[in-house]
Amino acid sequence: MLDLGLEPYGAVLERQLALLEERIQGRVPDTLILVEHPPVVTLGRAKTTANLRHTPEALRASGIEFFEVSRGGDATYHAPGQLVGYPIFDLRQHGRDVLRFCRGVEAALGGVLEAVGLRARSVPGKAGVWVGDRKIASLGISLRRWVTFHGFALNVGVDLAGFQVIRPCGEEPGVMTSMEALLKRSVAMGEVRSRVVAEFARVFGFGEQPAVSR
Amino acid sequence: MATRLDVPQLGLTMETGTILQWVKAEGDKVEKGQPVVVIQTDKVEYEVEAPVAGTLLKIAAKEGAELPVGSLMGVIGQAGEDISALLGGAPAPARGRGEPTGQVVDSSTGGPGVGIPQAVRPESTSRPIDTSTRQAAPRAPGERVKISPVAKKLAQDHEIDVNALTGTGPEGRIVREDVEKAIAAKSTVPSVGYPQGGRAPSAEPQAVTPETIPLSGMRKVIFERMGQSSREAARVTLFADADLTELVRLRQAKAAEWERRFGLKPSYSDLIHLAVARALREEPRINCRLDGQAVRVRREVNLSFAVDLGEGLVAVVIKDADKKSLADLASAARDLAERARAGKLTSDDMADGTFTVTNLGGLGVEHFTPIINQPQAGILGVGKIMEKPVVRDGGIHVRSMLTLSLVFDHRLLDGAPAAKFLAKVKELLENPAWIW
Repeated sequence: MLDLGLEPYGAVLERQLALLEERIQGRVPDTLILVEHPPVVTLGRAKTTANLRHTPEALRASGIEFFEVSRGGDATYHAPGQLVGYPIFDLRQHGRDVLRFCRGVEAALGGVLEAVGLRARSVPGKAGVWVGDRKIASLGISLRRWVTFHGFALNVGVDLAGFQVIRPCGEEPGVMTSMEALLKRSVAMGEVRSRVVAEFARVFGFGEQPAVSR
Repeated sequence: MATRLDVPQLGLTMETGTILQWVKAEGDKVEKGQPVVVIQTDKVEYEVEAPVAGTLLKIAAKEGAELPVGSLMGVIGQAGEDISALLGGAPAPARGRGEPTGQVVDSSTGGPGVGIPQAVRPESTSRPIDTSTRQAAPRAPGERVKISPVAKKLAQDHEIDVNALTGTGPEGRIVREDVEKAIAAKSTVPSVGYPQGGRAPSAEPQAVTPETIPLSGMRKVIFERMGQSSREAARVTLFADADLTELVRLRQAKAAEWERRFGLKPSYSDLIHLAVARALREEPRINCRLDGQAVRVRREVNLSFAVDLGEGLVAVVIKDADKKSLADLASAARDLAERARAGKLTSDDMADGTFTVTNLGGLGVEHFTPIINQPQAGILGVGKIMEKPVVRDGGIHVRSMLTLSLVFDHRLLDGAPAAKFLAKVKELLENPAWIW
């Protein structure tokens, strides 16, 4: 587990890609990066620019970074209050099944939500984790030589108004929700982080892992 | 020799891949391990790397095309190399988004013994072909094969099934070149072996029975999971005979009414699912799983049952089965089984089962001891309902009897709660008035 706190998207992307190469070489174990990003819009390779409601320039002018990245999925928005996870896992040690891996990530996030009394579900044909008809977590996984990168974004207490700048994965911005919005109380990010780590350990069968900070 | 670049199988349930982006263009040199094309399936993006160094000779599928697993995306080889054999080996009629054509194996013209060459069949059933390179007319199922005498002789000599070919001659007539290409494809394309993506080979009457079944795909998953469960679980089997005479009678009496009300007739499996789901709610101790260093008893009853796919099987899950009516259970089971056989299951359909029922009664089995579907703690084997002589009140009666075989993992629970659960299933099946 690599807990990066709050760090800009670009720096974490570089870190992620470096770790991906090291994982492919077998020099590091499976690693889950957890981080929050300052406001940023990223566009996956599906690249539906129509799902950006503002030009990259306009976004940058209002203090939101913009990146085009090589991951699955469409437009995504990250901001503080949203827990972003990048699992760098070698699927050759997890059954060589990337769809099962995605189900695992959804199950882990489902477990995190269940612990606070929210019933999560996945919607066939739609990525992410949903509570009722609202989307609480986005998923965009990539795979290089059976090693996963990119990952998930779980809305903990993020300001949902921020999603107005995009059509998240082609959906209406109003479809997004967060743990705080549903529970109508504040949720400690630290607790969610430890829950996510515990759930990933449960679902993917890791034992006690040394947590590394920074 | 030129090498095919096929849509890879990245998961057991993966059916198709969508071409997102060609990183390389036709004629580009590629190094081994360099990304050539990016595909997407479900939520996942995957960079397909060159398996060999060479030149990207052909792009056979455009960006945006959705192709079945195993389909040809491109060919890598040496510049100037003749790759017509790889491209034209077993042509299928072009169909926009690359749906399986389904017309290749034609049961009305090919009887038993008409072997589909294994090397050709998997591609020929699923490979979409770029419309720009081929103008052949597809043949309707049942239509007589038009073939020139020379081509026919050649096909017979090389054991090529002409039903699997699309002719490029006048009016779709199969000519010598078509057969020659098929022969070339047969010798250069390595056997792909098994149909991918959980599709049942039994859908095709002449499906080849290979002598060697590779430990890959679904077979490998079953191999590993069954072995692991067998090694780990402390298995105990409890048997009980249930008297289903009353249930059989009620089912017959109610059949017409059910048909009218629900549009379907619940099977014995459906009735057993219902009884098991309710018994799990009343005796929930066996509805548990190993969770780290603890045994977690689950509140929700998610009933798994196995669907036979011909070669391989898959366990599908009816969520909250204890809260469903008989009609809802029956239609959920049908829907899941149909989608399993069509290879159209979603992740949700297979996830988070809490207990499994497996039924071999339809195949004449009386009782058996199934392997536990981990991380679950129990599995109920259901045998064949048979009329048997039963002694009751000092007399011999003919009753419809069913043997239930409950296997549980003694590490996670003990004999008494398992026995109570089994007794509850038996009680519900023997006194079926609660069903309606």
